[in-house]
Amino acid sequence: MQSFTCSACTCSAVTRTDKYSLVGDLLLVRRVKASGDRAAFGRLVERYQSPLRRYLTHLTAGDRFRADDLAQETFLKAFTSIRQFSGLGSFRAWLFRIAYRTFLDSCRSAKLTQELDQVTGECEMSSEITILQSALACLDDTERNVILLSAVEQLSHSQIAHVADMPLGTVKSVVARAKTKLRDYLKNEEL
Amino acid sequence: MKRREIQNDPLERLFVRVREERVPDDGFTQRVVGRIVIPPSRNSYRVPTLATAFASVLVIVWMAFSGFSVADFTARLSQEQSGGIRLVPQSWTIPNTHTEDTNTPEHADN
Repeated sequence: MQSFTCSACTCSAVTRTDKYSLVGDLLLVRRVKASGDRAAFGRLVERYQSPLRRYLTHLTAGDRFRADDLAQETFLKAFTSIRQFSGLGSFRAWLFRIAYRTFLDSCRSAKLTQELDQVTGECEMSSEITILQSALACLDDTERNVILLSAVEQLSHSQIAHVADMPLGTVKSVVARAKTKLRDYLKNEEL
Repeated sequence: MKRREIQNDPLERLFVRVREERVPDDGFTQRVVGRIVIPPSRNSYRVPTLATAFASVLVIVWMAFSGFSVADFTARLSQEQSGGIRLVPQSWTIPNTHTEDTNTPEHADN
């Protein structure tokens, strides 16, 4: 079973690798577009697998196996439709948009939303992840998605509006509402 | 100011800690890259189409400049069937390999 790690050395690695170089992304995307370069796409997967799998793990209420399947499907969809990426926006936001749609499709087909509550607690998680998972359970699907993209994955509000197909004003209000709910939850739990 | 807000707000502290969590690759990238199926390019559809079009043009040009007519061709075919004119040389035809069996009872009687 895979496990999240958070030690001093990996955190410093995160800060280095999380400086998502737009230019580097575009160069890699151009190579994939031009010749279907697998090595270049592998670099993109390597760069984005961690945030994408973390995001999908939270969306699926901690089901890492399901999250890994969705992440794999997301990357394969991204490869086949990479010509549709214009290069004007962020590749990261485009990838999260595909991931969110893949998640919604899987929910519709497998009625996963009904099983989410049962999945929580089956995997080993750090205390922070456990607290966040239980706090996220008090939000609805839209609020959960928006707050994850905003607070954890640090996408801008306009990028979230693109990912979730929502107006910018709605995104801002949903973020504020979700934060209020989460604060209330943490206050009630005395964390 | 912002740092103080984060330190005082348990929710922001929680988000900071969750952001620092990193999912190890554990061969995930290899699995994804291994499952990539490269879709056929547009040229792979164009090549047979263009080749067919080119061959069709060649046939039409040959028919136009060689005085070919469909009526003559069908007439020659009908003559071929009746044994009048051969479309192919005699050497190209496959010889009949059927030979008379010498061990028939008639020969045995002799």
